[in-house]
Amino acid sequence: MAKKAPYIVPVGPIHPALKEPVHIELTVVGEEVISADFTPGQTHRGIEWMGLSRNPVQIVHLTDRICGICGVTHSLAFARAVEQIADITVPERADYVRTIIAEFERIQSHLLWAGVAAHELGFDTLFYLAWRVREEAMDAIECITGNRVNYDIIQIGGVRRDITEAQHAKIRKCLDSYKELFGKLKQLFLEDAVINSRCKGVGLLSFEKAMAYSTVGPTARASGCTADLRVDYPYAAYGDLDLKPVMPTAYGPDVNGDTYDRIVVRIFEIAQSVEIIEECLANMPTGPVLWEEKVAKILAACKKAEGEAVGRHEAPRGECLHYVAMDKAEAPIAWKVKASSYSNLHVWPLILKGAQLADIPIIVASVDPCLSCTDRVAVTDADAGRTKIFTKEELTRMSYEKTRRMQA
Amino acid sequence: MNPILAAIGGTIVLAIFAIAFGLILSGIDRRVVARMQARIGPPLLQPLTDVRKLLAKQNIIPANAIPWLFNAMPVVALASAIAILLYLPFGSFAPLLGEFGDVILVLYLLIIPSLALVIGGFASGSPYATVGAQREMVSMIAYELPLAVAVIAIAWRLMAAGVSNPFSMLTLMQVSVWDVVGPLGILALLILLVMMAWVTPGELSKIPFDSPEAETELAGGILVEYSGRNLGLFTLSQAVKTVAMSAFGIILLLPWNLSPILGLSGLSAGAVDLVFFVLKVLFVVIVSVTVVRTMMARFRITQVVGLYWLVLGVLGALAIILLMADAFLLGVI
Amino acid sequence: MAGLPMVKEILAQSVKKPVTNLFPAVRLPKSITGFLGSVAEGKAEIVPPVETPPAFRGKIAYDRSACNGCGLCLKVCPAHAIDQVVYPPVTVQVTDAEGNVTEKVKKEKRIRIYVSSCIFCGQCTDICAKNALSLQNEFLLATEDRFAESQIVE
Repeated sequence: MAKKAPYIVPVGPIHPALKEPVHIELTVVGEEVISADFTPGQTHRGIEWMGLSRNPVQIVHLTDRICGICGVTHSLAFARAVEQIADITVPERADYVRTIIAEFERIQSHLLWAGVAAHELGFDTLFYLAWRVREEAMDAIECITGNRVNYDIIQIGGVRRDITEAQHAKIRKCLDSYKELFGKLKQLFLEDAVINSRCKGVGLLSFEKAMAYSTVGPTARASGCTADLRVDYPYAAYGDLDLKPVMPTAYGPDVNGDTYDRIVVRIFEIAQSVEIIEECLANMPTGPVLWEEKVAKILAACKKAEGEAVGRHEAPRGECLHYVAMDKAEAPIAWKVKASSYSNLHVWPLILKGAQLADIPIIVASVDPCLSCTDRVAVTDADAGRTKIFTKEELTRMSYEKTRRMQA
Repeated sequence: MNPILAAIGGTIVLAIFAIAFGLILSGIDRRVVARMQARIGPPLLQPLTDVRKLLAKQNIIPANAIPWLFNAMPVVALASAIAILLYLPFGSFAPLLGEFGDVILVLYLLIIPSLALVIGGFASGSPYATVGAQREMVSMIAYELPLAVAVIAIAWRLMAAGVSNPFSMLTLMQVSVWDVVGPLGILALLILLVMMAWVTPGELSKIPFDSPEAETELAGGILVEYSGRNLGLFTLSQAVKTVAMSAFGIILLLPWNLSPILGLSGLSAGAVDLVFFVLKVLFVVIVSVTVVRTMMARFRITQVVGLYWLVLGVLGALAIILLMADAFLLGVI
Repeated sequence: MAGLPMVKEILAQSVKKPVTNLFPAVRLPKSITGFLGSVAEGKAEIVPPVETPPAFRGKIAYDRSACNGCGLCLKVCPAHAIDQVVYPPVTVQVTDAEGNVTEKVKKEKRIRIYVSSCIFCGQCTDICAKNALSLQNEFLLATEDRFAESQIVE
């Protein structure tokens, strides 16, 4: 039989497998993907540009809106950058509150992802279950911060709300319910025969490739890289904790770097987060939660600040990085966000190659893409009706020019 | 009465019954699924409302499609699905055209709605529909094997027991295969029952066998380009097919009626048996469609073939061997 | 069943109550806006939404008399949802401690908040020295007109 001609299956910009717009183009022979390419930039919102006309106290709440799931990730990374520039010391208690919120966020984000992954596999019951138990974490977050999604709890120099004794009971109840649930989640996700057969050996990312592509977070850890910012460069209260990166070996004997391992890492990270929160709650130091109670004084301190810094945070999806440069002005002169998905998306063409068409949704979802966080720029010529893709050389030249402009 | 007029009248009554029953079945299915997922689910009559709305909506024919083929296939699917009903008994009501066709004919007729879907999918001119149509063909070939094995095994056992005309629906209505077998045969029939329970969701393209439609990867697959009246007709044919497939499974393996036990006869027997039949269909749908689609993730198309050919194929062979051994032990062959 | 752990789960769930909160009504009303209207008139009963937590940040409330128009809130609002409104100068008669009546030209400055732009961060309530701003529990704010009366607080 003659070899079948390849044909192109477009996935996106809008497609049921994608929760956010991105364009993936697959060249398919029969059911097998022979090559894949993707075009991000479909959800560019210009948040960085908006930030350049606002002061850090405003931006810190703008960063909450970069991602719909990571409400604290970006604000924490941004606040850490500004605190370094303005030489602000965060009170110890605030560090603990930050850690607790960040870990709650990890729990809810991983459960959200687990539900989406189940849905991509056509397992809607598990999707409903995961999202139902996620509500526990959302309730605890709501209790601590006031709102479910946009927490707005981070402030330059600390946190805006303390965790009081009265809230401990509610948080403990939530943690206990997760401890009870963990066995069930493990069983439902990792022992299910169909999930096993659909995820094992699918979307393979070797250790070498994971390193070469600089993947971060659970995607990297599932391939055997022990990279975890909380362990490697401890910040907030993570330095006081005895942490080890969660690897796929937590469940099975080997590290395979497949979709299944990515589920393992995320499920076990939920358990790890529960432990971290418990430890933080028990060992919370007393004291203020803000470097300065008066917001006007924080504003003044930021206005005097000069310099540049990088703030990093281990988000649920991996390392998130904010670069901020300030020059004794209201607004920063530069603000750059590198979301965790930015590092992870580039492995898509690699892990999609050779996959079955049926496995595309779960492979695409397995890196937990967050596209609205990632999309920084889209160059479109509306009149000519075309988009331009810049090469590496062009971008390097442009960044040299910008640096020169800034130094002048 | 003119037999042709009677047949036409009967067909209309059957079609209305099957459409209404099939749509309500899908409503019940959705409610039960919702309950198992801790949700409430849509109103029971939601599928009826959906179809009514679909039938009133505009048909959109994609630019790449072959219009006449694209428009003809929904009609073919519904017509062929209704045609199956004419050869199937409902409770103690004999099939309308029972003397003109038998189990083998039903086996073939069951393929036609799926075939119409495949042709409609190819005629849509969309890559998703094309992939979906290819998958539907593969899964058709896959589930035909265990279905045919089950039918032939039952008919062979009836023949071995000395029943004449074992493929005829009328024979199947009168003689229950469970009555003619011994203990080994019962075991074999239980295996066949399990096989039929797995074939039903495949035949009806439900999770885990819904890879031709696969919402998350193919965005609806075969049906992706269908809208309005055409989609409404496909929904109706799916509803009728649900009833037909369950009725087929019931006549093969759950053929009992209540009226002989209650000692009824005449019209009341027909009514009681019809109610019992409806309950049996409900049972079949809930066990082999609703629960299965709630408890599992979607299979890859290669896994569908593997399951039907290898797992169910081996089970079928085992059932045939058991039935032969049973017939041998009972001394009928 | 081995390999299908969900079976146990769904069978257990099928006899339990659903977790859905039937907000705003048990059965879907013909028109949601019509239904909410009749709820407001007291003709229909609403199934209450899930309760908001104690420190919830909902629709902003503005105590106009406490405000001194300093405009600090404008400086911290990330969404630029607050406008300063400067009223035309008015002459007011001021009686001092000794009973002398003098005329004084007073420029009144107040703020106006556009709820449709507000992101509910609560930064303005933190910075307000006069405690003129607070975030309430109300969250059913959707309308079709972003300049509707309910969408502007002043």
